Amino acid sequence: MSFFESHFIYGFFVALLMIGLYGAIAKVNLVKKLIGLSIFQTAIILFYVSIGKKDGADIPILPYDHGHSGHMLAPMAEQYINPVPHVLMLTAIVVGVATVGVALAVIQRIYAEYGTVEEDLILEKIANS
Amino acid sequence: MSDQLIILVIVWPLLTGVVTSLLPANKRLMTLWGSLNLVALNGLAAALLLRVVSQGTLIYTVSGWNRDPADALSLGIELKANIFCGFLSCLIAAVALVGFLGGVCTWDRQVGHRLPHFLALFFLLVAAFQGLCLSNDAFNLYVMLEISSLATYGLIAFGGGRAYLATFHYIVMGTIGASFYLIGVGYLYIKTGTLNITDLADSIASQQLSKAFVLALAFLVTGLLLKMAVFPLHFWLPNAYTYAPDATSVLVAPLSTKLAVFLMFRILDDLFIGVIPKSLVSWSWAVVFLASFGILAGTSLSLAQRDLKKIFSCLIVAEAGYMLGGLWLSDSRGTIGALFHLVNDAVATLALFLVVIAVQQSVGGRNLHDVKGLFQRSPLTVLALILVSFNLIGVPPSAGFFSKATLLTGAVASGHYQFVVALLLASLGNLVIFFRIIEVAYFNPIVAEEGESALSLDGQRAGALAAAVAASLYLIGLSSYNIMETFIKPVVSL
Repeated sequence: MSFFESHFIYGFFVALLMIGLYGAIAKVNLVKKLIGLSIFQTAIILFYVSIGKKDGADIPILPYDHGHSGHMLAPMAEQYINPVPHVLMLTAIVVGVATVGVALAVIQRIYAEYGTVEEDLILEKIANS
Repeated sequence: MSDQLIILVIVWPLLTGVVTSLLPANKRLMTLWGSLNLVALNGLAAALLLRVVSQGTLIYTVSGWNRDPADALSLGIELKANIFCGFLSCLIAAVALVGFLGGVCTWDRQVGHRLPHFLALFFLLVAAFQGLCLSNDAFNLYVMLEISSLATYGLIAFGGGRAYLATFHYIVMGTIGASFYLIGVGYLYIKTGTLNITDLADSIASQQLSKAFVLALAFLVTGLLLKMAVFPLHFWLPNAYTYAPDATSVLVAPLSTKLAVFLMFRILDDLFIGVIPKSLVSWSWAVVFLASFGILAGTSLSLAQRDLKKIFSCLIVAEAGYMLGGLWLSDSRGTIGALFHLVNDAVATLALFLVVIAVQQSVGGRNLHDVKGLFQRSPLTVLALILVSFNLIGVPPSAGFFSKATLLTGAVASGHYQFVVALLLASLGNLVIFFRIIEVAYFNPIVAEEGESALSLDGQRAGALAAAVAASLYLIGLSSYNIMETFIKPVVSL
């Protein structure tokens, strides 16, 4: 496998991460900031999911009624992709959803309070009041 | 039952929060229910500490996922309580109880009928703090960090008005910080294949310190710097803490950034034992320089404010610099001083934000010109203010003196003189900040108008509570030698 093939996913991860970070920091519109933040978090999820991959490995579901205990299956570990990063990301996705939910609720309150979601206009209104 | 103490300390406030959200919004019922549960939590944390003192470090495997008998690697999530974790757990429980009682008188004004939801988040936050303190799993720490942040976002947004925008900024910065931490954990996982901190430390010690580890450390540290609100990354903090309801800031301000400091300590001292000071000397210079700059910047920011709550919030930014610098001095006295300062600063910040409540209740405002006549109306509040100010300036029998002295010894021994200068200048800055407030409060009396009652009962109570907390700083100071020897030195491995 060439360097590009084996490392391209990391390049993709970093590019996505930077797009998200740029959006979260540089955008003036609060909703766009939030979208940037979501991209940022998704990039990390993608990165974690890619960690678990192995060449030629199967999904980590053990056949039912195998007749072996867990320890006897352990030598076959290379036949299955690593499920731990995927399971971790289930939790991270939940955290991400909760963050976006809270942020959207807060944006809604900001809109009700100032009538706009453009940060510069909000700051202007705060400075004038 | 007693084997389950560690998990109970986390689960108790969590379940309390769930039940609280179902209860009616009755102030007296809530006060009773909340304080009973927090007293119980204090009991559990104290029992945990006693157990750790008598039996040494406790390890608890969640759901019985014991270590693999073949290679002794961890399979599930572990909780670990060493002697400092036990102490910190007691501190969290105590701050939560005092903060809860101090906040009761502000509920009517700032929280209203949404009280059950507010308190549900309050208890969730306490549970997350306990989890941050006791977890021994790098990913579980991320989850606890995010739970504490999410609960804090909700609690701050209860402030309404300006608090919404401050909350949004906090959400953006907090999420970026936690995500950086998560990337760092990912790099460590790739290199070691484990998330358990003890196993990670063993694995790191046995491998060459490759670029991936350095990068992982950079991500972890940057993420935590955001959570700690060290100077250039601080801008979310003052507004968020100022516009939050008083009942929120009294819990969040003393503990939130301090637990990020504790996490930083775990990373430097538990994960990368001894690896950093040897191979990354230039880093420690850069970080200590950043910390010194942060101390001065935080103090100057604080000097420029006129709102009491904002003055104290900016001081938190400066205090984060003290602890960050201490941890990175690559000297054991620096680390000990930083951890002792963590304890001292949590109590001092609690006292400061109780003073804010007392001022608000006694004179009806918290601007610098509002505190005029405070001494007539609530002498205990002024007493608390004086006691805390001595602590922050570093007058001898206070805890602040001993933590600063230890930090200074470490800084001089390791040759970080810019840190020494920053510490001393910050003490001078604190002197100006506090005497400006005390001068107005003491020397500018007001003439009470006809029919106006001079004393507000809530203000008196909050003032008394603040004075008691401030006085405890001197107790901590007087027993500083014992605290450092018993609770802090055994866990510092540097």
